[in-house]
Amino acid sequence: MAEPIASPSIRASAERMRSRRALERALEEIQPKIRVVAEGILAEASPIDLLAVGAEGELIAIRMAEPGDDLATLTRLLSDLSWLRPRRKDLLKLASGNGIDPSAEPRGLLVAPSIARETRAAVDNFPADTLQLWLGRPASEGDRVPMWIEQLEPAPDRSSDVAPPLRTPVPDPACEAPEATRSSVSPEPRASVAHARPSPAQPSFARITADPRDSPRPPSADRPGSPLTAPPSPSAFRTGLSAADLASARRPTGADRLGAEDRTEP
Amino acid sequence: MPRDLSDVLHFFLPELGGDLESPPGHARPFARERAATGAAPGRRSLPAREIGTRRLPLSVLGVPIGERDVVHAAYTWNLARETVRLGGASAIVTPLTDRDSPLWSAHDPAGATDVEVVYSTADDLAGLRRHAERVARERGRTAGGGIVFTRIPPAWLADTPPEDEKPDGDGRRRLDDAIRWLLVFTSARPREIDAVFERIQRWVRGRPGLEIGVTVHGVHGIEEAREAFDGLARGCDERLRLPLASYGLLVDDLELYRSIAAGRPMHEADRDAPAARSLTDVARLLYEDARSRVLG
Repeated sequence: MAEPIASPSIRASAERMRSRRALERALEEIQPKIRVVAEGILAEASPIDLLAVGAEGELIAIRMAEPGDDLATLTRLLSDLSWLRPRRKDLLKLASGNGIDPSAEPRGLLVAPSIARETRAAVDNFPADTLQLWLGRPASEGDRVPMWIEQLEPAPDRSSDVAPPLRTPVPDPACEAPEATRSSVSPEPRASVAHARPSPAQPSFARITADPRDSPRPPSADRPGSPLTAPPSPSAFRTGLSAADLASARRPTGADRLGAEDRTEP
Repeated sequence: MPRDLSDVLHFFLPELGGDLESPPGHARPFARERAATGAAPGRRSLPAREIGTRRLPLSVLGVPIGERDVVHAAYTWNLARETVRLGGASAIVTPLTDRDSPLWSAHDPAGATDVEVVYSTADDLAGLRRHAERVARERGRTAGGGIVFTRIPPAWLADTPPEDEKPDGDGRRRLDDAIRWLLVFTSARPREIDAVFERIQRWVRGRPGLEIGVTVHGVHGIEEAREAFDGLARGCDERLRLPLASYGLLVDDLELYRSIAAGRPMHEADRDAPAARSLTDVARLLYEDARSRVLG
């Protein structure tokens, strides 16, 4: 499989592979409904680190960013979504056992050791879950976990770059399968890791584990405050008005009127 | 050589028939231009296209409105007036039982001669639709497109489709004769969006050919309306495989409610009011779609 263009040496390539495997293990642990089905798939111009299938059959492009490279990696991730969208049916044919839903919009997952304020601001423009930001750091020598990862939730304020403490322990994948046994697209869905589930004593872990896509959403159940609603597809809403057309001096609304009437009641 | 769009558009416009001089002002701008310049005489001598007889010269737009829903009736009446202001023809067809209700009687009958409320004795959807089609043909003789707004009691849509709306033996629905185009109003409140979704789900169950458009009302901004529409459209798309059309938004404005209470058109109050602007925008979207339907 193609390796990152920016990785000149075999050693760097091997490290990248190890990071991917560690990330895959970590994801299996805390997002069991995400099934990694391929690794290092060459997209438009660079490889997607991990390609996964989500709970609803949506393709998930997962990229790891080097320190300070999260914004550029986000751009590549966006490119991945464009690259994947027309290839969903092809991937379904190639790997029909992976539960790919060709009607589901692809989404992206960016893992970086720190997330810049601009990156977070950029992601806030997209519907919920279309792009997820995760903090991830390779474990240090002596750690019993291969990688520390934690999902970054939308922040109410954007006052600083974010690098909160990472608290997500993942068991050491000592029994990793050798690289040679892996195929680019697994013939069958991978089994979720059933052991080492988070304990109730780890609130942040539980929060990460809760996947908002697990429960069916009513048509109106959108993330409040999002500039768009949740659909990954472009909005079909039509209007010839601009905000300026509606921004003439604040006029009393019907609700105001009703409120005023309510207040006049004894 | 054609100089602009009006020089060539007659090649694509339907032959609506009627007197070219009779439509008011800007109602048939291209037909008048053609008569004045005498362009493409050969085309005019061609027999009327099937669209003139098969398709209605005005589009019939069904608007599900409850018998006490004066707000949605007022929206509809104002949209009909706006359609006329935009150069089209419009009328309102409604069941005869509405004659004694406040739905339409509240609106200034003395000043509004451009929008006629036609009461139909029909007691089911098929009869109402046939009446609306008659009105469309009559108004279409002298107009350059437009809309016949048809108030449909929501219960009639939930009923089993009448025989002439049911699919033919080969499974195909005779869409040319069926109620196809609906306009639905919804606020941005999640509860109402869910309720509208449930209603649409019931309607399309027996009428898979329905084309439904949505106007979001009572909003304070474009993003609020967009979110509401997108949520509803996504639900219809994912669960019903039904694409919704968007017909803009109507803002929450006290002037709107004053007009409704007074039974006078929105634009008579304040043409620059956000509510009036949004009303014009919705009417324009509807009118453009209506013309597209006539043009095919």
